Formats: sequence, C-alpha cells, structure tokens
Amino acid sequence: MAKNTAEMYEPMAKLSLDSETRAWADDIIARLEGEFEKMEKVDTDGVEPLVTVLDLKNVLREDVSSQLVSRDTLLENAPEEYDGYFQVPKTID
Amino acid sequence: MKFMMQSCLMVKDTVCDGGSKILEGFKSPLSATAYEKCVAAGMEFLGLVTPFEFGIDSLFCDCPDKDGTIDAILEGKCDFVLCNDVYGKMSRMAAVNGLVYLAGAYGTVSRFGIMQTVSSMDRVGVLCKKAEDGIKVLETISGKDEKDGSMLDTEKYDYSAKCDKVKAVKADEVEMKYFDLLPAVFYTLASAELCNNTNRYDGVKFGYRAPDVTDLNDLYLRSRTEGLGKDVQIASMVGCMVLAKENYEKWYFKAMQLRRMIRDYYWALLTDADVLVLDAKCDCGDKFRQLALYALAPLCGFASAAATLDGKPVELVCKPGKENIMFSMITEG
Repeated sequence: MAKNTAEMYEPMAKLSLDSETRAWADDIIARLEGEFEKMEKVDTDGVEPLVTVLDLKNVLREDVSSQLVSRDTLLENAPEEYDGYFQVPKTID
Repeated sequence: MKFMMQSCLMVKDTVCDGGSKILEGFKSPLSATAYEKCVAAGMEFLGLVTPFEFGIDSLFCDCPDKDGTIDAILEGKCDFVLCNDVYGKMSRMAAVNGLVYLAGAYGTVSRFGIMQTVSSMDRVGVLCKKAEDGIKVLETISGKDEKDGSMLDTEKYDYSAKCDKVKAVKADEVEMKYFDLLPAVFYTLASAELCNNTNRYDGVKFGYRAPDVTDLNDLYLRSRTEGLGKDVQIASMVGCMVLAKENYEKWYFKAMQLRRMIRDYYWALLTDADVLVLDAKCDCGDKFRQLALYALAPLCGFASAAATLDGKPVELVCKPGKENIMFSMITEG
C-alpha cells in the first residue's frame, strides 16, 4: 500500500507546503498512521458513528426567503468585484 | 463589566481577522450572538485581541505560557475575554497563569458569529480572573439562539447555585479508558472539520488574494498558501487525507465510532462522579500527546473549567447539567 505523504494531498487542499511545513506534515501523518494501528485493535463493529454530541433532528424552517446580509455589504469585502459580481481570472479561453 | 473578544468572534462593521493573514482587512457584516448578549446586558466592549490563527494551537512551534489574550486580563485591561478555545490552549494558559477559563457544554452558547473552525466542537468560553465573574458571563451568553441550529432547547441557565457536596475524581483514581487514543481521534476529527471550514478561504469572495495570479487554480493555491498559517495548512491537508475515498472508512469513520465509545464511557463515569480533575500543563514536551488532557470536553460535548485548585493548575470536566456543581469547586465561600 502506498505510504501517505503530504504532497499527495496538497492539490486536494489547494495548498503548496514549503519544505519545513511539508516535513512537519509528514511527521504528523506518520504518527497518525501509527495511532490508527492501535485504533484498529479496538472492536468498533456495529458502533454508530458520533457525528454530533447533541441528539438533534434536522432543523427545519418555513420556506420563506430571507436576507441576513445584503449583496452590497458582501461585495464590500471582495478582493475584486465587477458590476455586482465577484471577479476572478479568466477561466475559459 | 468591561470585555474584549478574540478576533475569531465577529463584531459588525469591524475588521475581524481571526489572527490570520487570509482574513486581512475583513470587515464583518454581522455580530456574534455572545457579543450581542453581553452588550444587551450592559457590558462594555473595549475591542478585539488577536488569537493564534482561528483559536487553534501550534503543534509544531514552541508557544509561550501566555499571549495577548492572557495579558489583557493579567494587565487589567478588561474583566473578561470571550474566546473559542479549539485545541485547549486558552484553558492551559489560563490555569498556569492563575486565571480561570470557563466553557459551557456544547450547544449551550450560540456559535453564531464565531469563525467556524471545528463545528462539532466549537465552544465560546470566558477567560477571566475570578470564577464568579466567569459564571455571571456564561449565564449571560448561554441559552437557545435560533441562529444556531445545533443547540439545546434551554432558554436560560443557572450556574450560580452552590453545591456543598461534590464528588470529584482525579484522573489517577479512575480508569481513563481510551485516554491514549484521544489525541489521534481528536486530531483526525478536528482536522476533517477544519479542512472543510477553511475551504471558504479561497481568495475569491473576501480576505487575502495573492497578487499576479495566472488562472483560477493559481488564485486558490497561492492565496491559501500565502494566507494560511502552517498549522492550519497542515490540519487542512490532514483533513483532506482522512476524508479521501481510500482513507474515509478506516480513519475518519473509525474515529467517529471511537468518539461515540469515548463519549458513552465518560458519560457513565461522570454520571457516577460529578467532576473529573485533569492536570493543566503548558509544556508536556510532546504537544500532540498533550491534546489528550484537553480533548475529552470537546469530543464529548462536556463543560469544562480551567483554574487553580489546591495550588495546582487543573482542568475540570463535567456533564451538561452539572456545571454548578463543578463551578462550586472553584468559587469562594
């Protein structure tokens, strides 16, 4: 089985780690792999995963639109905006 | 009372950067419910303090025993600071500096208006000098908020009722089952959630955007790499790894199953006893292993209180509903 390395997952995380950070990341990955070997020894068959500590059902609300923050307010924080939209570099030639 | 907040909690029309370059200049369009409740109760807001990025702690760099948040209380700048203590850094620093850090059980204080970091474990807490002040603040900010979908139904909490008989147990007096596994379970789940929550910092809609980008992928990659700190980068990358198709079942799913077993075990332990007493240390040598001392409360959704007890820095943990019993141990009279 291929050994996990930071470099394998950097494109997925949209990151490019520098060499020092990559070495730290590889250390923590190696450590987690060791810890998971211990975890595999714990029998968890049939145990429901705990996603949230609260025993909650899905929270529903009336199907009515609301506006917490206006478009103009949101665009105030945009690094670049054009004509009321977020602007990004050209994506299609 | 006068208060400050770490800048990972937001105040409308104020620059809140969460201690991260990626949110350089970000002006919040809304205010945290905890902030609104304090102001409505007549408490005076003095300003923001900068936390370690998004309230996490560095596992890779040496961190001092105190920071600007602790200094704000030690130097008497304010009476309390609202924080989101994701990796237990504030709790540890509070206890070793003779201060108090109180955090209610998960779902008792609204998370609306805090920068989501580890959504299933984020808890707004109170750093202060005296436990009595912290209890008053916690009573003020807790209670159901329609803006947070993961809350208990209780509208108001009373944490002030003193309790004379407290059954407290120390970690070396009980079987601390799964204790060795806590750091890995905590770090796996926290990284997965942190990875998802920090995906929004992409240089498109707000915050830092790298200059002179060539295309959209370059914009994402360079903005995030230049804007996020090393610990957040590593946690995001680890999060991607444990959530990847080939690892999901054996790592992430397994960690969630273990989380239930850990919660069920300690729920039973803290039904029999009232409070579990753990050491609070800033330097255990191994920072990853150190997470075990803190991970129990966020993993299980328990309430916690870091303070000095019998001259030693400790972290106390209790089940929801037993907060007043736990707080009785650190209040005077």
